[in-house]
Amino acid sequence: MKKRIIALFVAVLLIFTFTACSNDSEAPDDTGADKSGNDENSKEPTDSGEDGEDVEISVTWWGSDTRHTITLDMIDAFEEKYPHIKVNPEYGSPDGYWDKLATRVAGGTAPDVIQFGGNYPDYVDKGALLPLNDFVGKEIDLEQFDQDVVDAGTMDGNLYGICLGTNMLTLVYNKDLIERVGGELPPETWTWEEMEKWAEGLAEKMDSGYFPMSDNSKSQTNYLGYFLRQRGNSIYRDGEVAFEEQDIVDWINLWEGFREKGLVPDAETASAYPETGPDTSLFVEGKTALILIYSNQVRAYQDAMEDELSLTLLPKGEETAAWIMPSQYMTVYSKTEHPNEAATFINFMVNDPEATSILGNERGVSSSAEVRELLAESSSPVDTKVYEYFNVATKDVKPMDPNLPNDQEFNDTFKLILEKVAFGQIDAEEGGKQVYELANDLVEKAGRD
Amino acid sequence: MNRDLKNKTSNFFVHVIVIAIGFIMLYPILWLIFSSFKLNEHIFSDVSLIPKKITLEHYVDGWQGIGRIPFSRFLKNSFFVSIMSVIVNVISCSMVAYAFGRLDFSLKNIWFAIMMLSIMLPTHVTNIPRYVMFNKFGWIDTYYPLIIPKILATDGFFIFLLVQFIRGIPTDLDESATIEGCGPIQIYWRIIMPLAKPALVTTALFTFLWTWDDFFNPLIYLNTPEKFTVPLGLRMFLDSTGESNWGSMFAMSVVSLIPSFILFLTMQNYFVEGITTTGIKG
Amino acid sequence: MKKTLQVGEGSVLNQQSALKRLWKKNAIPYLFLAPWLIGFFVLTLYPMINSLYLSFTEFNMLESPKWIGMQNYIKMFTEDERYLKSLSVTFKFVFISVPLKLFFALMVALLMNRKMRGIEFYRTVYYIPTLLGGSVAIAAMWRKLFSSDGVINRIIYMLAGIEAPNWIANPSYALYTLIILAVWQFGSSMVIFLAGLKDIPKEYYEAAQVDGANKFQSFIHITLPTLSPVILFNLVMQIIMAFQSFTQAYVVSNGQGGPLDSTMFYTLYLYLKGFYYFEMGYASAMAWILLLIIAVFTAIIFATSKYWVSYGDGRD
Repeated sequence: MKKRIIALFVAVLLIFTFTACSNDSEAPDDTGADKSGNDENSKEPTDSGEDGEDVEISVTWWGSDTRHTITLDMIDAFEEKYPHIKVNPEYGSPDGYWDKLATRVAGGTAPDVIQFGGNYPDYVDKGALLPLNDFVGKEIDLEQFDQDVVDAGTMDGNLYGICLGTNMLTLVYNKDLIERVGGELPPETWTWEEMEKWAEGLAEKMDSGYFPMSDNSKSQTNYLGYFLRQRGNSIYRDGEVAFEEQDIVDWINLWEGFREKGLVPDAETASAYPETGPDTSLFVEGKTALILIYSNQVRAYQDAMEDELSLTLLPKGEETAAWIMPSQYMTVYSKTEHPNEAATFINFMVNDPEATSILGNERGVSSSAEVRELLAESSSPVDTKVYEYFNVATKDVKPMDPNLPNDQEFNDTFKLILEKVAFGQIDAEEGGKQVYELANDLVEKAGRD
Repeated sequence: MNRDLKNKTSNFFVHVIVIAIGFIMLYPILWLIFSSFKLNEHIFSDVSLIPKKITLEHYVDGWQGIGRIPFSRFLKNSFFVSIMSVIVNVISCSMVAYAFGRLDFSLKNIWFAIMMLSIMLPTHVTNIPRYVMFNKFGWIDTYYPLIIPKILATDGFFIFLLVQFIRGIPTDLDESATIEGCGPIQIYWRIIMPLAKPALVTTALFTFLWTWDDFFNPLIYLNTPEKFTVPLGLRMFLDSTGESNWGSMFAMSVVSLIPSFILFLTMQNYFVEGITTTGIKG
Repeated sequence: MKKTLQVGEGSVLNQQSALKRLWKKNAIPYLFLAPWLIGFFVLTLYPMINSLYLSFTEFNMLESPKWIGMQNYIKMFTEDERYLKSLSVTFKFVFISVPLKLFFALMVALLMNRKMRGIEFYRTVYYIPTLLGGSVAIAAMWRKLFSSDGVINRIIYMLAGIEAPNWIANPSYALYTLIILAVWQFGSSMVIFLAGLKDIPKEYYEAAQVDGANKFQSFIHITLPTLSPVILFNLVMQIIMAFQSFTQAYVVSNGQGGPLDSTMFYTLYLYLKGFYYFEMGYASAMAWILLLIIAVFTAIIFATSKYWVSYGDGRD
């Protein structure tokens, strides 16, 4: 018995090892590529863009399966057009993307072309990204770009990020749920008061455990930014904190008012469903009727639900506050050995007709109305709704403000402070004070580096 | 007769308890398996365990993989890394543990203390210097950073584990072997290794499972998606900033549990029956 | 050296033979030790020393570190409330989860050590939670399980008719759900106990039976002492691992440690500080304090072990 089992074990082991070997023998291709990839680091910098010598650049991005597939197709098209440039795609999930990027930048071996979100300024501060000014008009053509979108990728007068698509905040409501309880559908546009009234009307008709709105007071700070911009302020503008303690107190009181009236979930439920994505959303479970998300998330939310979703504008205020924001940027690593090729690649990605038709609107909606119209003809009902929303919403926008430095820390700690208020540990005044101090500390911290 | 009956009833109760707790243990895997058959729009919106409608699409989609890489590629890579790790880790850790557990040498206690200290520092802060170092060695985007540390027995957990087992083995056997003229090397190979089998099997099992599950090291050191291991592949189904394919992630999680499951089943069978008491008394 | 030379020729010989003895005593043991020793000097030592150095600097990972002396350590204990909170959360977690986990692991291992039909299957079933580890799937499942209309609350409602809270989202209970998660993944300790139990010679029990000992007595006088090296191992390792607990809190709380930092484990905070708030110097200081804490506990356990651990080799 014993021997038989050992024999079995050895057999299993051999099979495994064999599989491993066969894997290994398939691998030389990769290892070869990898070795030359490493050699690349030791090569002398060359201006190979001009003499057409073969170079390799690596490109990194995060995303879903769809994004990976189309980006790889786009890279094929690029390599066909520029046979002397080989592109090493290094893609992955957003989980761990930043850990890895920070480690690689610290090790001095980051990829040549890097996809960023709104947090690119944190890397600019630390000298990790290359200013692209010199390439504009040569490798990089920005003719077709909105000035706002170009500005969004600009910091201290230098261009760092090229926008890959745009995004807007949107309110999404669960049409079927509202109709089931016999409530009114939200109008196309409304004020904060009208929104509250609508929610009160709906709350009366809903059973316990159901709420008119998800708690978006802290799921991300852009809603707060929107609120501040309506009063002429912002989270961060011109290199400093651009709000007062009282602004935050008002924001907190607005939401705590909703909470007392049962228009948003209680503190406990809200912390169980942080609304960071469909997997942590009370809205997706069909228990709330209205939620704030980005326009590029609408499809993911709709895919996770059976009920039909529709979009509406954020509540109006005194001043125009909405903004079009780049969903992602492409940037170049400051220590790249092939800046020209990297720039050429980014330009191809955003301007080449073949590339843009392959990439479509996966990284965000086109900021051009004509392109949207063109795409709308062949798109799914959800996408059509997003385009229609864009057509309306983009009519009333203002340039975006940059993220606060140390954006992630601001988001996390802001959430913690508002949670303290919701759980009754501190009052709104104290919350306002803490958020104000936090923002100033973080700006100071970035300046210190 | 009486004793037999008593045994039977006691066995019956043991079964009842074991099954009751077993259900709690099984609930998560059931949840995972059932979820992998749910339609995408039901995974998070439908709270019941049993799917309303069953679909196989997640298995089909998931198996096709991510980007242009079939999921089987991730499995192969994981097999390669895990098997290599098991082999080298068992050999090197058992050697070091034999030194600590049985042999007498200068500075032994100091080295042992240093070894224990080295596993007390959270790895998050050693990652960057380690990355810089491996980069200098030219190991980035290869499997070396995942396997070579195991050749060099850097995981004190297993050394300590084997030390404890080796020290638990009565010394009379070594003594008689020494009298017969065996040196430390023969004792290691002929006596300690066979007797430490349950611990060696445990080491092999855990090395496999933990390497198989490891997310952070492959994440940091592998750049080319073709070289990714299973945990990296699984995460790629999820994009918290956009579209996530939870269904495929669940389905492929189930698939990637199968090797661990089979391994556990076979290995535990082995170590339960492998050791007989007569071996110890010699 | 000098001393021995002064004494004369005889002692040079003595010294040579001392060296020879030293060589004879150490050559083979160091050969066995070599893999770890090389690994330590080549792979482990530099990153450790480097992180110790970084703990005295301000280091955002992307620019060169700036020496600031003890400031990180001072700030930790004087200014950083979240740090102190994470420390207390972690202590609570360690002191509740480790004893519970070891107790369950030992009890189940004893149960699983019986000869019984289907035992292989049961053993595997009990190991399943551990197989799942810290996967993303676990996080989603755990949140569902303890949510206000989750299975746990439905059972509580059925049994007691009480509407229980949302455990994961309640600052007073969230940590306990993670403790349960840790205890529920007792499989690794169980397997190690099982391996240890297999090593106990049956003759010991037979002899005890002849002496008229009952099951409980033989558990106390045979099982526990013979198993004590393994118990020591599990205790030390579980404490080290519990102090460093990261993955479960990370996935269940979405990397946030919420609600109200009630599941902000030490290493989770360290990780956020280092990689997301760009304070790697501070994170390194935190890591070294944690090392110190763990080392103290481990040293205490080792110091007491001579009173309760007995080895087959007769030493302690």
